Amino acid sequence: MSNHSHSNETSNENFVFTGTAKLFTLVLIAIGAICLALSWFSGSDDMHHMRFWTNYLHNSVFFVGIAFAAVLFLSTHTMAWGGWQTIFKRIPEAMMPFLYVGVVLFAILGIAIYMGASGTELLYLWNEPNYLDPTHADYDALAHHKSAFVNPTAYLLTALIVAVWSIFAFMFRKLSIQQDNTPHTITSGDTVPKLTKRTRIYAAAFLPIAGFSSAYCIWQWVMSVDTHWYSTLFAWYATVSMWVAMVAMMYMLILYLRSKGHLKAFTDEHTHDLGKYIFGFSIFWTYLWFSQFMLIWYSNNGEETQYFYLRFEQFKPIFFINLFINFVLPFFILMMNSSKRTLGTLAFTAGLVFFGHWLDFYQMIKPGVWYNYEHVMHLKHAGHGAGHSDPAHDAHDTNGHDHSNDAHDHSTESHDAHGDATYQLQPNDIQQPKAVLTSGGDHNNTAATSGDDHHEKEHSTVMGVHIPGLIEIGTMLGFLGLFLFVTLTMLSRASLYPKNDPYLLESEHHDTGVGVIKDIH
Amino acid sequence: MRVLNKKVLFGLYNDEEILKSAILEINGENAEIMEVYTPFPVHGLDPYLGFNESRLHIAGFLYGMMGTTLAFGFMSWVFTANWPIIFGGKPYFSVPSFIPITFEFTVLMAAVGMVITFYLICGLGPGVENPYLDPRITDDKFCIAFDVTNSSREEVAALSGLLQRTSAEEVHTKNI
Repeated sequence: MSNHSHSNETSNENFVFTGTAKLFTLVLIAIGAICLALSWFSGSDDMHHMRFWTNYLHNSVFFVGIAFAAVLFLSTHTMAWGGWQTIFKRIPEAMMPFLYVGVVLFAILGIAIYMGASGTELLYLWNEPNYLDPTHADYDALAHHKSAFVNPTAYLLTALIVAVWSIFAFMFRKLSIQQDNTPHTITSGDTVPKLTKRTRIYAAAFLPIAGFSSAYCIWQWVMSVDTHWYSTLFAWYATVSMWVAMVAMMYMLILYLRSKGHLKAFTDEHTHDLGKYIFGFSIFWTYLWFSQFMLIWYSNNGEETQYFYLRFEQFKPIFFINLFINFVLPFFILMMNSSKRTLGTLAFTAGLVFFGHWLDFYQMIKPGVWYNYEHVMHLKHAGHGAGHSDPAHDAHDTNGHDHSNDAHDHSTESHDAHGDATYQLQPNDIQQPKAVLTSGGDHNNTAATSGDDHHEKEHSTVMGVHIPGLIEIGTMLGFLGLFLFVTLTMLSRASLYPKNDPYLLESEHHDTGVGVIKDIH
Repeated sequence: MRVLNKKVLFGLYNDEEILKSAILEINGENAEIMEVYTPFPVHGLDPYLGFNESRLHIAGFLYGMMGTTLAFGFMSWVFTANWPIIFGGKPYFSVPSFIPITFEFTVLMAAVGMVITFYLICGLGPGVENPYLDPRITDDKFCIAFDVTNSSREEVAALSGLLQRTSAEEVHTKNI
């Protein structure tokens, strides 16, 4: 402490979480709670409950993912003997405890799915027992085939995995804060080097666990929404999405703390490296996005292409906005060194990609659930699920659209005719959207108006499905408020200045080597 | 070996931190440094020497854009006009299938273009032998050099004293 230039840094490094900031997060949480309640109580049918569960799942995955990426950030930097992040390491350390909330979030979701709560069978097709029953008319061979992995028990296990991550988050944070009050050298008990070494052991253990368990969770949470679809790249792609959102969030929190007069030792050099992270990982995200897209596009397998066909045909705005916000904009904005070092530019880009990756998860989850909904509606109209006949369906068929060989009618045709229903989904199986949410919830009547005007509704946009509606935005704000509440509370519990960390000096003198002359003090 | 017809006074330092503080001190005396040689890139040296941000990366961007245009344009021309072939039932003009090659060619053009530009700027290339002040500069010595071709004996002595005051291990003069 005595031999470097920032010896007075500890004076104002205790963040106090009160007043406007606390009120702001509480208002956000209230908005989120109202939006969740609205989406649950606005209608009593599965459709509205589906919207509730989708938003719940989407935001839980996104914000728990950010907390998970924060643990990953700390452990990778610890393992790589990284030092530059030390000056702001209390921020990822404060983001990690959202994992404790995540355990509750996914336990609730897991139990709801286990109990078969209303709407969850639309969230995940594998949660409807009828589809897994070979003797039932609605038997779904692919869902049955995958049910060894995607089933309610395995899903509930993801809450346990988040709990395991939480243990690591707890240990990282505990060891780091313990270091603040530990002498550098003493003959007995804990010393700073011992604590650093123990952090490294936890980091080394966490990395392989994180690698496998994050894939498991993402397959369960996100990929199994599209029950008939799978992609081996998907887990990496989703994890990188979380990582970019985490870096963006971290930078915005740092800016907030700087505006409050904290983190004095944080310089343009650290800004520059965080900018490189946002820039580099945005490109890496695109690389994975495109790798997944191109292989599926090229091989043209029905069961794979249905994922992109659905998004490209019905969710075109989201599909392209996603690429534009998360690749084109950060790529060109942050390409110059100077823009990575400019506070305003980087803050703007961080906000942009944060929303962009929220939208990325939106387009991973919502279209799949919408497909499930259409699938189930189709089965009902085919005279099975709901047990009522639908004149629209007859009109539909006499219009020359004979779907008897399609996947949606496999329940009648393939099962009866071929015994064992092994089929491949074709892209044209995807049903046209019906403006259900705007109709006040009575989907049966709305669906019945299709038929002749079926194709005119081909690209109708449904609020809350094809583009995020106010409920979606409000729910996101609520989860954001909860996340900020937890993070800022944790930030206020420890000094922002890890005064005994052995890498502190390295971090304070961190230099990317491209500074201009005004940077010299 | 190239001959520059210069008389150079240089001091050798043992450590990059000593070198940096020496440069600051020399700047304070308003002495004009000809060049600083280090065995490895020393972070933060550029602003000490008053260098502006390099424009090499702007050239790199232009080379990259050139690569993008060339690769994408060439493939578009070949597969739609010159020699259309159907691959995997895809249309002739299939943008996704062009992207990997476009990407690779962009990187190649930017990288090779920047290397060639850098070599031209620095006067490097195969067969070129540039004069050197001391072979240890490529190993473990850090060097500050002054151009004293047109300096008087007193000026050289003053600079030499300045180098010694800033903890130079050795001070030499050399004609290159």
